Amino acid sequence: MIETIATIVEKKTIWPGILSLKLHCEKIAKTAKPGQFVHVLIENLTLRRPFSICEICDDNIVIGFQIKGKGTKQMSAWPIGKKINVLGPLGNGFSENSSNDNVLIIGGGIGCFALLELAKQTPNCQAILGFKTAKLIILEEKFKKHCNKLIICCDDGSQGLPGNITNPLEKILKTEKINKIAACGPIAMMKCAFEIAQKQNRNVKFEACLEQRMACGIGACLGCSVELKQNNKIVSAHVCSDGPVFDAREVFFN
Amino acid sequence: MNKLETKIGKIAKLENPIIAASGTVGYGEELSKLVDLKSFGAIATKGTTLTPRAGNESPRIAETPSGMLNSVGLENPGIDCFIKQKLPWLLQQNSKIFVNIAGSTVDEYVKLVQKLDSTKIDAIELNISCPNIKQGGANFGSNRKTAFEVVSQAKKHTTKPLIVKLTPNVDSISEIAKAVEYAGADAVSLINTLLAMKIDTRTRRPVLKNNLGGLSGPAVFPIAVRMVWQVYNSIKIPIIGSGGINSAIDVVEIMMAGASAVEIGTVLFKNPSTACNSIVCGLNDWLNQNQVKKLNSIVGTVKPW
Repeated sequence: MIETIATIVEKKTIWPGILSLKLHCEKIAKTAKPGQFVHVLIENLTLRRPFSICEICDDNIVIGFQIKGKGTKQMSAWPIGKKINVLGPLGNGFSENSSNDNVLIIGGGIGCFALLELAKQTPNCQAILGFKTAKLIILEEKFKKHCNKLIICCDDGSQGLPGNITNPLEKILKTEKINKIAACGPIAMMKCAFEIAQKQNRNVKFEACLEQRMACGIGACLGCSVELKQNNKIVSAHVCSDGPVFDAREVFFN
Repeated sequence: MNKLETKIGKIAKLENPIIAASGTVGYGEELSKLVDLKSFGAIATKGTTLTPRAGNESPRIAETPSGMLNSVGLENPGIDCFIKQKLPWLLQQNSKIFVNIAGSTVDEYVKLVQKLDSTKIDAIELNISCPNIKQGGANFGSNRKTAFEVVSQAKKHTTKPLIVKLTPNVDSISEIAKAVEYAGADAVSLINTLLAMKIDTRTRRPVLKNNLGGLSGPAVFPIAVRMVWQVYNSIKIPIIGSGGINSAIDVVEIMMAGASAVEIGTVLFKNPSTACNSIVCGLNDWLNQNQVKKLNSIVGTVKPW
């Protein structure tokens, strides 16, 4: 973990309001793992903004975001070449996958940003990515390149399978030997996916990447708490330092 | 000669007046991965209670114009766990340690100071001002009588220097300051956060699950300066100023109002590894530029109209 200056070397507008930035920051790129995040300083705002590391390419990392508030709006105007202050890599990422693992990645909307590097580093994986509509689909080509199989679902049926990820998920879990699932997206999607997974195979390992409003990002301020079920007890954990990736069996999806 | 050396009454000498504010650095371990804790004059640890507390429900954090709200609600592992598991590491860091404690009864405060009395900490910061828990905390700090009672009882049961952290959510902070001085406090620290609220207009829900939270950050700085100045004119014991301090010039300003040292908190979220050092460098520059030999010579030197 380091607070460092990164340079924006590439900026892409994927859809209006959805962007990705490639940041040159050798020190973070060197140690970053899939599922970890960086905390980005934005001038004139009190708090940094956390973003999942979407890709690690040599000395660069890629982050992606949707313009939602003041911070992301300001970031969307950042030009290539701008130097920004980044803290990272933070948190604990997804567990590592070997060639013996048969991994299923489930992404929803901009949650897919948090899963691409995992797909890149997983020898055997397939992915189901769900979006509201075709014009919000992100990273399709990249996932296709790194996954044995990719299923795209759109709620409105405008591309891929119509509806949410539940039908293809049930089918894959019935027909294939999946031993690990990694998910990031809306809480309702992850809840639904976890319930289906549990019904089909109670032993499947299910890792969920969560988010919460946070301040320090390093586990000091205790702002981003999340309740977990551990040994029949409810314990308090923190998304920034204990997560953002958690064992779904411990998470209250509500 | 160290121009920034700071003395807060009976409390051990600090290398510089910058104290990491309670609640923003936990028990120091996380921050130490980014910055040498010795850069700080002292570390004020996370508010700790007699028994473990889970804290409030999330969301606990909201950003506001030039500031932020928090409603962590004193999540902590309890004093016994702190002393056994966190303190030994902290004492090895060779920085001065102020332990912030909070109780919901006078008896709890007494038990807390008793437990800390035999440890090697430098001072106890008595939190009678947490706005985020329903019982205790700010209840003690918002009334002269209860403030007096809790401080005088705590003082009777410890030999450690006692700093009392005051709430700004009162009619007259000077009256509370006088009461705790009379009760035997060695110093006061102010201000804790201001009770505030933020609403998500889309959902018509407060952003914080606790509905209300404490406002900190640059937005509160002028209020902190005002209150430090008012308290400075009312009591003789030293004041630790806090509330939105962001830069060396903020430190100079609040010291001119009457603070002998300062706590920084919210700024550590922005620049955890550089905030303290850049303020320290900025203070040295300011002293040189203004031909002031010792920083402590500026305390309370504002010339009111």
